[in-house]
Parts: sequence; C-alpha cells; structure tokens
Amino acid sequence: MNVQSLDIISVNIWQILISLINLLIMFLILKKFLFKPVKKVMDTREAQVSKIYDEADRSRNDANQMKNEYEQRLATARQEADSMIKTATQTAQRKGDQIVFDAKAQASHVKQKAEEEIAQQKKQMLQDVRSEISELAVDIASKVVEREINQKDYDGFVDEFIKNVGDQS
Amino acid sequence: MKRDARFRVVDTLLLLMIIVPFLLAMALKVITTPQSDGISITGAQIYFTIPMPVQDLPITASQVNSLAVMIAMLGLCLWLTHGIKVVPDSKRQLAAEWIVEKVNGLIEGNMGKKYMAFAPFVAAIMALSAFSSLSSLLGLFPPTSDMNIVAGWAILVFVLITHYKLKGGLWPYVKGFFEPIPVFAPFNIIGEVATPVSMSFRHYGNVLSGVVISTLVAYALRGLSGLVLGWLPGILGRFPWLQIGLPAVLSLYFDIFSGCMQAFIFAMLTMLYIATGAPEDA
Repeated sequence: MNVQSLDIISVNIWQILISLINLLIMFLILKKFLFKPVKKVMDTREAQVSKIYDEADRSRNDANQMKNEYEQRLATARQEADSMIKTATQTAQRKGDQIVFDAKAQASHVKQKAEEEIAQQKKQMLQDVRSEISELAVDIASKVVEREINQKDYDGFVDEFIKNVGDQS
Repeated sequence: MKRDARFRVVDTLLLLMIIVPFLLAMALKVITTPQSDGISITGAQIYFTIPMPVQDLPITASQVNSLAVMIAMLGLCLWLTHGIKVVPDSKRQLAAEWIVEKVNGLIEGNMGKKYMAFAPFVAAIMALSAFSSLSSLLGLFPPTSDMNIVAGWAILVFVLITHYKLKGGLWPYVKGFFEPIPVFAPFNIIGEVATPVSMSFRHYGNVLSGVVISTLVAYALRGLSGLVLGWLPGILGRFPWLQIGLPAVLSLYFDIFSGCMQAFIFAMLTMLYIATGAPEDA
C-alpha cells in the first residue's frame, strides 16, 4: 500500500481554512454546550442564594421589629401597671383617710353625746342630791327647832351652801 | 442521588462519543501505516486528495485527528453538563463549573470584564490545542504538529486583533504603521504580520520538535539495544529493551508538559494581543 505524506513543512490554504473553521465550530460548541448551561445554572444558583439571603434579612428585620414592638408593649404594660397600682394606692389612701375621718367624726360625736349625757346626768344627780339635802336639812332643822320651817325659804340657802361645797370639792 | 436508566444510557453514549473517535483514528492509522523499518519523519499522512481551485485539498491524518478531537470535545462538553443542576450533586458538574470559572477568571484577569464573551473562544483554543497535542499519547499524529492547523488558528486570532485595532478607527490604525517616523512603516507592517506567523510557528515548532526528538531517540535506542543486547538468543535479542523507560520520560515532557504549555501560551498570547490591540477607551 503506497501511502503518501505531506512534507514536514507544507502550506495548504484549504487546510488552513478548514482549521480556522474548526476553531470557530469549537468555539460555538464550547459556548453552547459548556459555558451557556453552566452559566445558566450558576446564575440561577446565585439568584437563589441572594433570594435566600434577602429572605433571611427580611425575617431578621421582622423579628427585630417584633421584638421592639414587644419590648415597647411590655414597657407600656409595666407603666400601666405602675400607674394602676399608684391610682389604686391613692384611692385606697383616700378611702382609708375618709374612713378614719369618718370614724373620728363619729367618735367625737359619740364622745360629745356621751359627755352631754354625763353632764345631763350630773346635773340631774346634783339636782336630786340638792333636793334631797334640802329635804334632809329641812327635816333636820324642823327636828332641831321643832317647828316647821317653810321649805321654800330655805331652798335658796341650801343651794348656796351646796354650791360652795361643790366649788371646794 | 437517583439516576434512572435513561440517564445512564445517555451517559454511556456520551462517554462512547468521547472514546470512539480516538479509537477510530487509531484504527485508521494502524490500517494505513506502512510497514517500515527505517526512520521517517514526515508530515501528516494523506488519505485522499480532493481537487480544489488554486490548490488541491489533501485529507490528512491531522484533519481526521482534528475531527476526532472535536467530536470527543463535544461529547465531553455534553457529558460534563449532562444532568447539571442548580444544587450540584455530581463531581462532573463541579469540574464543569471549575473549568468555566477558571477560564472566566483568566479572561477577567488578562483582558478585563468587557471581553467576557471571549471566554469560550479562549477555552476553545486551549482545549483544541491541548487535546490535539495530547492525542500523540495515543500514538496518533498530533494535529498541532501540522503547520496548517495552527496557522488557521493564528490567522483567526490575527483577524480578531485587527478587528479590535480597527475599532479605534481606520485612520489611527493606518497611522499607527508610520510611527514613530514614516521610515518605520515596513518594519511595523512586518511586525504586524509576524504576530500570527510567530504564534503558529512557535506552537507548531514546539510540538513538531517533540515528535522529531522522540522519534530520533526511539530509533537510536532501538539501534543501541540491538548493539548492546543483540547477543541474547532469539526474540530476546531482537526486542528493543532500551526503548523501555527513556521514551516515556521524553513523552512526559514533549507530549504532556509541552503540549499543555503551548496551549496555554497560545491562549495567553491571544488574550494579550486582543486586549492590547483594542483602543483603551473602546
């Protein structure tokens, strides 16, 4: 079999042209079958990753916002509770004061009444004592002088006497 | 991860698409290579010739191997991106993403963000060049050691460079040849044309020199083996013992290291020439 070979250095424009076209075809093959699908997948992945990051950021922001809200709400609640306690304390204080005041008033009223009663009773007693003494005195005097002394004449005298006694005692 | 039967069938077909072209190219080479004892360093084998205007087109081993490399690359691309998902669950997807990211990073670092559309082009140059050079590991004729192949790429790169230079306007481009003084015009024009020539010659020469040196060393070792160990009886004496070892080391350098290096250099030069050729503010 007679096989021919090219010379070791040979120039053939058609071969050059074919090689040039081969390189262009290779470029298109690599572009279409390697770079395009890989780039597509990588872009999709990048988009997904950035989406996930965005979502994470958003969730974190939401959580922070919620946290702030809750903290604020908690603070408000505490404030409310404080003011409620304060109000309740004030009310209670006021009520207590009122009760004490009322009680004091009542007590003084009762005391006054009692004093009045005592005074009345004392007066009554004094009057009783006075009349009894005057009677006694009249009895004694009538017995002493053996004659009837007019009751009315001596009432004034006895009164004065008792008054003096009372003042001294 | 669950892979259904259909996925696995497609996967297997794609893997076959990567492997079979090379097997076919190897089979073609085995069938057509003449039995020869002598040393022969020639260009690519011509399988048949198509008559064309200006110059006949010979269909050679470099054409066939280029086609095999391209089909295999298409299969590789499809295999890498087969079953690609937003959440990666396979090593091949990671590999595909690694390749794309590396090339993109290279473009961004050397050319800037506005040239990102060049990423597949640079990747195509690198892949074609590297895989063409590496195909010599399979015993195939490396297409990159055929000057026509590399010249085609370099001319395409030259067209791109000129295109970007012309973006600054036709007059600045023409005026650029007469700077710093008009006497320099011939040198500037030579320098301009030298770009694709040097690019293609550099790449082609490196790979070809590797092939030549490997062939020479292998041939010399066979002779040396016959000389030193020829006294051994029968087949033991005819077997080229000294060919074991040293050619593998040479292959490691010329085929793998040099092949990848030249692919990288070619791609880097492409990026730099295009990026520096374009006007700064364009």
